Amino acid sequence: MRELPVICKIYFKYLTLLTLCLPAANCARKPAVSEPDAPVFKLHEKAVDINSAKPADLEKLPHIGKKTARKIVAHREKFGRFRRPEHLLLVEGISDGRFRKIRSFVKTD
Amino acid sequence: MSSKLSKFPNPAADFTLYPLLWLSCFFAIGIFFAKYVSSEWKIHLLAVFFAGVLTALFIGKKFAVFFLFAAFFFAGSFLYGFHEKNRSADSLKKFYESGRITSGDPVEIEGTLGAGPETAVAAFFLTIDAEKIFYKGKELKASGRVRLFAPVRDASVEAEYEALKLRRNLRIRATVNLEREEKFLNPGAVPLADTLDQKNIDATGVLKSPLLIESLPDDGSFSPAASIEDYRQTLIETVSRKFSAAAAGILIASTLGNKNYLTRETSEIFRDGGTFHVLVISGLHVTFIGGILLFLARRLTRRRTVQFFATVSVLWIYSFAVGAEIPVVRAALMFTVLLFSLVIYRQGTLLNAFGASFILILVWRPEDLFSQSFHLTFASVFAIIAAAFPLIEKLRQIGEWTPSAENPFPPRVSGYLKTFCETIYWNEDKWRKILRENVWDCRIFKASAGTRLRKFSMQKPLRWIFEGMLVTSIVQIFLLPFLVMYFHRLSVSSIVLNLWVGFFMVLQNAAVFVTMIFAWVGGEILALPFVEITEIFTRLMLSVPRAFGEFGWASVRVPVYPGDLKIIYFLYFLPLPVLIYLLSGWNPFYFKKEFESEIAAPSSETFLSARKFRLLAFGVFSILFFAVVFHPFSAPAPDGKLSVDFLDVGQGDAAFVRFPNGATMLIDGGGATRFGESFIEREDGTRELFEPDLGSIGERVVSEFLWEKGFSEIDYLVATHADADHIQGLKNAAENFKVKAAFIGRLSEKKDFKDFEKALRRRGVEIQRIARGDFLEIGGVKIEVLHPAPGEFAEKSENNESVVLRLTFGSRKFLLTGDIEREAEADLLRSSSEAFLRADVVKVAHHGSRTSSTEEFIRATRALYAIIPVGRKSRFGHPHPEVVERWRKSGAKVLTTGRRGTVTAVTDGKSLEIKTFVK
Repeated sequence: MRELPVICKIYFKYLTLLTLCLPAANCARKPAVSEPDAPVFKLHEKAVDINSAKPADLEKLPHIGKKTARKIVAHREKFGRFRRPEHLLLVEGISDGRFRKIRSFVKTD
Repeated sequence: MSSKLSKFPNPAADFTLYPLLWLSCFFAIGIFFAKYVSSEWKIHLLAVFFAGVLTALFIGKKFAVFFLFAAFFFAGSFLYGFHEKNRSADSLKKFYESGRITSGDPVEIEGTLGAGPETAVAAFFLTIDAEKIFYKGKELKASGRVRLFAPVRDASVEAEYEALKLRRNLRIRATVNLEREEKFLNPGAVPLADTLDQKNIDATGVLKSPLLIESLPDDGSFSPAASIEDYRQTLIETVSRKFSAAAAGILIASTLGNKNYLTRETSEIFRDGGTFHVLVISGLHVTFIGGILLFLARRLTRRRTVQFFATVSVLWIYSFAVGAEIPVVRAALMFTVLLFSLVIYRQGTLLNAFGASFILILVWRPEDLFSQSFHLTFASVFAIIAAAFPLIEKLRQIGEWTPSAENPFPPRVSGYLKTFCETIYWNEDKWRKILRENVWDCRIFKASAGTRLRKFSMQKPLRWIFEGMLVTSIVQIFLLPFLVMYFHRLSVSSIVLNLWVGFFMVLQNAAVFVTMIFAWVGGEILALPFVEITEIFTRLMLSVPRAFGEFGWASVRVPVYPGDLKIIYFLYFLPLPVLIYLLSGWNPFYFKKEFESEIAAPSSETFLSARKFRLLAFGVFSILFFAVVFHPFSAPAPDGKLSVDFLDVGQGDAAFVRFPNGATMLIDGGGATRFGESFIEREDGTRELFEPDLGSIGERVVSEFLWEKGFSEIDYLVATHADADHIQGLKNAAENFKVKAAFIGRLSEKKDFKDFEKALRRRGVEIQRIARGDFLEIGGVKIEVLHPAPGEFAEKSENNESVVLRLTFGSRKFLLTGDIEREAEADLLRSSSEAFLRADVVKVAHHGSRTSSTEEFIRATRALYAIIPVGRKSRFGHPHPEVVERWRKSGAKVLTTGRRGTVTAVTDGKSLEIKTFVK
């Protein structure tokens, strides 16, 4: 086996050191993720319980029409109670944006 | 050697050369047996025991080897059966298979994250190892893996996900509509469940919102793997912000093991040229990195064991750092075993080590024997070890020959071969050294080109190029049936392109390494020139494959033989071991000695002379090779019937017509409407549009269906109009199949239409316009254009300018209506008598939308069957219940492709038969 020039050996050692240092450096350089504030919404006093509400009650909510109200009830009948209000998102036609608009008007007891 | 040539392989005699290779074959056959014949693992275990005992009893006898074979055969069948039986009863896969959960229903999954989030552009993937699920109000204990796709719409959603601090081992609860069912139900498509099984995933889903994830309390244990993943993620982010989308995509895929950043264009260039495998971290990569590590280790220490452990340990760390996907682990395992054999023994036992790794991997995951990546990895490694290396070695011997006691005479091969081998292998300096060291002197005549090339330092690069091309060619020959069956693609140019791409990828990686070091140590300014160099290497890397693609030289698409004819792909492999055997028996230095004459002459030993045997083996192989590549009998013969397949392309239209004389027509090719665009934000503040590499419906569904039926040509393409869900797939059809003519009603300015036109032009086909009054007669079938009227766009909606076709064969009529709406329906009713629109089968317009299928129109058709091409879940609410009801009321039987899969209507002109893919 041929001997390596000294410079190569130093280079490899430097490389190894560098590889070991990189994760540490990375930890130090990474900016701390700022904690976002708690969800900004306040439950409306007339919030509707989506597990017991009738289609007519649901229709009264903003951004919920007749069709969606029917879909919510059908979903409840087929898959059981909503454990969290967020599970309304699983109802066909309720997008993330739409849910956020009605978030403060719905609750699960 | 000559006697070896003449004999057929004799397991008992050759067994001792590479026992594990033989045993691995029987082990694999055992697994096959368990899958397709019997998986009674208890009986098989007993058989292993008996075969083992018998082997031990007769250990000295020759026939004991057959007991050993039996032991391995049953060991394989036992392991497979055992694995299958003991797949835990609460696995999600079993829930779906037993029907306890319906695919697509909402499920709440509680479990730990099996890995950190796998990022993509404006999205990421999560892998959850399930512990329990909540389904229809019930809590069920569960196991298995779930992979979720989470789109990240905007910065606020991103912040919400970040606040969840998703990391490996975090316990979460996520709620999604979980799926384990095919999206498109057509014959020939690879079942989604199979694809998931190969990736060890039980079900998939799309996370609609960060609100559907709940973090659960966990023990907060520190995971070193999580830090590695974090680091990898930082690198991915840095690379994606620093370089162009094309360069970053290649870098992130090829070094950090994340394919989600590849742009569609880059991926297509790589696929087209047959070089996509360099973008995936698997066999080639692991071998390459292992090779570099070994090279470094050899420079630093002479102790073989230290070299081995140093190389292997770093390689495994790398394998886990890039995500430890099954193919990566498989390749790393194989490299470890092969290296171990090299460290301990010599090169001769590589085939044995190959057998050992084969068995080890199958013991780990017996079901892998049926997975694509397993086939590709093992077939290519086998090709390299068993055929490429020995052949290169023989050519080297021919080129390097100098007189010795062992081989006193020059090689007995053709002059051309000798000159070629000497040109790339002859080393004049070495020969001079031999002469100086010996007392004797002599002169040998060698091809002078080798010495001249050496003088200009060209011999070595030329040798590498030649060896690289030889290895790629041999690998392609061994992979041929797999390439045809899995990818329907053959790329002769990949022999050259692999070297080109590989060369620039090494340069690109080196440039990136320097960029990152400089950026880290010295700041952005120092790194800037290297960013540019990286970009230049990337452009160069892509330039030649792109040019090959533009000229249509990159690859050809090959259909497969349908049904029982598929046996040809199995038969193809039969002559290969014989050819390998012949190669191993080839001794270029062999001279028949006087006294050997008839005694060892091959003809006296077997019924075939060695020469005839060689010819036969090559002949059989060549026939099979041509049969696979040129697929002469793959397309079905004309049967005198008209058949129309309405394909399940989700929300979209595609109908494949086969005429009584065998001619074919594709009316629309499906496609997906794009919603929104994603951008990559770069460090310099610019934004670059990013088109992800998602499989297209035209390729994955429509082309796949046609290849599986054995077609390589479609005579006519018809685009009813230029909406994405109709025309997009036609572009793929024009690229993948030979086309005679293409038609459309109205020309459009849409991008999808322009792409289609461009693809046709490359085939030398000009798109022709058709309008009311035009007709065509093919094989006794009259095809009439009923709509639109001649002229330009008159309507605001392109839908109402869709081409409406009527196919008449004997007394049977088919009406294909594109996306026409009530205005066009009224126009049709106005322009013809009611009786004129009568049809037995109607393709319902516009996927059953409420804007079409008016009472009057339905009444006029008096259809027996109304076929609605529509997705199982349509975001537009298609088909509208009122429309379905209207058709039903008219007396038609309504069939939707979403529920029934491909709907096929066949007629001989009198009778009419309707078949559906899903009964």
